[in-house]
Amino acid sequence: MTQLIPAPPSQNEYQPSPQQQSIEQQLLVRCMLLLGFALQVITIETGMSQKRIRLMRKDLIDNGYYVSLSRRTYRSTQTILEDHAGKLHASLFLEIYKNLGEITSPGEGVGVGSSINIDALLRAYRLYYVVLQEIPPSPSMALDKSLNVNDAWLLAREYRSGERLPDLWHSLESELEAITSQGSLIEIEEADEEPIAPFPQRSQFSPPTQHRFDQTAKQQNLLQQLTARFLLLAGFITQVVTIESGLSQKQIRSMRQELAQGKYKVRLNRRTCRTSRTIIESQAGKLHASLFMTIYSNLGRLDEIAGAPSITTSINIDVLLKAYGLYSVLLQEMPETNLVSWGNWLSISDAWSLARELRATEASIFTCGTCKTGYFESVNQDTLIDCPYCMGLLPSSSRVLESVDIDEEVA
Amino acid sequence: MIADSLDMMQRLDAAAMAAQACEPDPNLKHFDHQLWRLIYKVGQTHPKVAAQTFSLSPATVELICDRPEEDMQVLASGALLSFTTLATPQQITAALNANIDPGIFFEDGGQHDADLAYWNLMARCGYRDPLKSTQTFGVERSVIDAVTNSTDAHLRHLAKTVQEGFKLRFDEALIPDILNNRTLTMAHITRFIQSLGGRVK
Repeated sequence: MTQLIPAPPSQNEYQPSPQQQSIEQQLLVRCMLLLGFALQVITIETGMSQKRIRLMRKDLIDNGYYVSLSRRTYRSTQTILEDHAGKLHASLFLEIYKNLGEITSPGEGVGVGSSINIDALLRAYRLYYVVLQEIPPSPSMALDKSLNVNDAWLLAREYRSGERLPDLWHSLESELEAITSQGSLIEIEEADEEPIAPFPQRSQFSPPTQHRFDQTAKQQNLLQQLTARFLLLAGFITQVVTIESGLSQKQIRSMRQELAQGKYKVRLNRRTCRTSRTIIESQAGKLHASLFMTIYSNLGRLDEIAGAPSITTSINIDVLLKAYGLYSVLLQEMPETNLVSWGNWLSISDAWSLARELRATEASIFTCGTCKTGYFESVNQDTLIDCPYCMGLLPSSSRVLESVDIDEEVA
Repeated sequence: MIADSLDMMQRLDAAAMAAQACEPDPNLKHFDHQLWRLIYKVGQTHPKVAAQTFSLSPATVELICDRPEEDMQVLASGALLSFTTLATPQQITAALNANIDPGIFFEDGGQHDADLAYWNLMARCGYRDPLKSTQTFGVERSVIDAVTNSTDAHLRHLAKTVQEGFKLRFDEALIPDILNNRTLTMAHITRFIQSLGGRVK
């Protein structure tokens, strides 16, 4: 059933193809724009031209994202460290960055000669930002002198290049001691201070609506490629990936081949989707379909309440993946059996196919009049069984016809 | 290059492959097992209390107590908890929105460990995947969100003030079949489908 077997991750062997590098570059630029980095910083880190970055920024703004119109260049170190408050802010941030850098890159750190660790940098900046809000107001730690992400990046770069930054940590400690001796934490919480916001707030990161698909062409292309890659790795067959991503079969095959040549081992699978006709041809098939579709419809209904489109109008891939995960876990929980038909678990593409039938109103979830349990029923299914729960587990599909009263079923 | 340290593509790849690499949660399995063992232990001396706390019939409690304690493992699930809380969303929300003094809990700690473990487990699972947790615990999304977003002190307050007991999520008539069969029967499947709310009341 599993189509993809991830090889042991190895950073050294990881050599992305030019196409993948391009996707990563676009993703990175998009991420950095949303985080508020200056154009110059993004250019240095990604190698993309400022013109293209501006176009991507315009795309984001047109689609309702908040992108700060920050200055084109970053401040110089001299500007940041021009006074005592600036030096304190820089020392505080760098201390956090150094510590997190040691944790995220053990043995290497983020010091002289190493590269900027953007992961550690962003985490350090967030922690620095939280610490600032905990510190009571003080002229020495003036909030209007706080660093923005570009300042943080510059300090990290200077630190990496070995430039000597003023070591004011000891003075910061004495400053903090003086501040904390002034009042309790409760008083700090109640202090009515103007909030500082050098970093975009959570709501500003979010798109205006949860399921929005009216992206511009560039975004659409990026999204298509990401979707295709995601679905391939999730185990979907080419036909499903083609339908969901909108890319051609040739492009998908090429992407699959690229994945197979990289660090992922991709197993070839069948080209076309099964339907209920081949999935539900016995009681076991119907039980599998009913179990999965019960989870899918439960989660789909909850996601619909949260604003997602109904699963009867479109396939919700996110919910499908979650439902398939839970379905897989439930199967692992069940005791072993020697029933051959039960071993024919749904693949993730089978699950997609059933969801498509539900959306196309070719299938529905009926409630049994006897046991009051919901079961999946499709017009394409190849079995006469109605409710699969109202009888014991049948040993094989050939016995189904013997045990079911056909006249009663037809009636 | 900055992308090397962000690993965005690899994170997406890992998320994609996670769909096919799901396994039962050992935390859920252990907790569910503990609840069944609690029924077994309490049922030995106070069967009425066990029946009342877990909304079971006296006959079912007797049946469970007559089995070896090791059999409780068979009833435990690492995917869908066997029991759900009887507390209403309103009770839970009210407790989580109450004004509390976090300090007082050091005075009477340890008395509501089972309840606290339940809410902590819900918070942990809800943080990871709130949507799936609704199925795991058999509660509404609003409850998962409220528990996930609350503080530890509020969860302790919830465990202390709201003790409505639990109810089985599937028909207790299925228990003998599950206990007596080590191979797959319809009872095993029906148990899960009923836990998922597939049965109309």
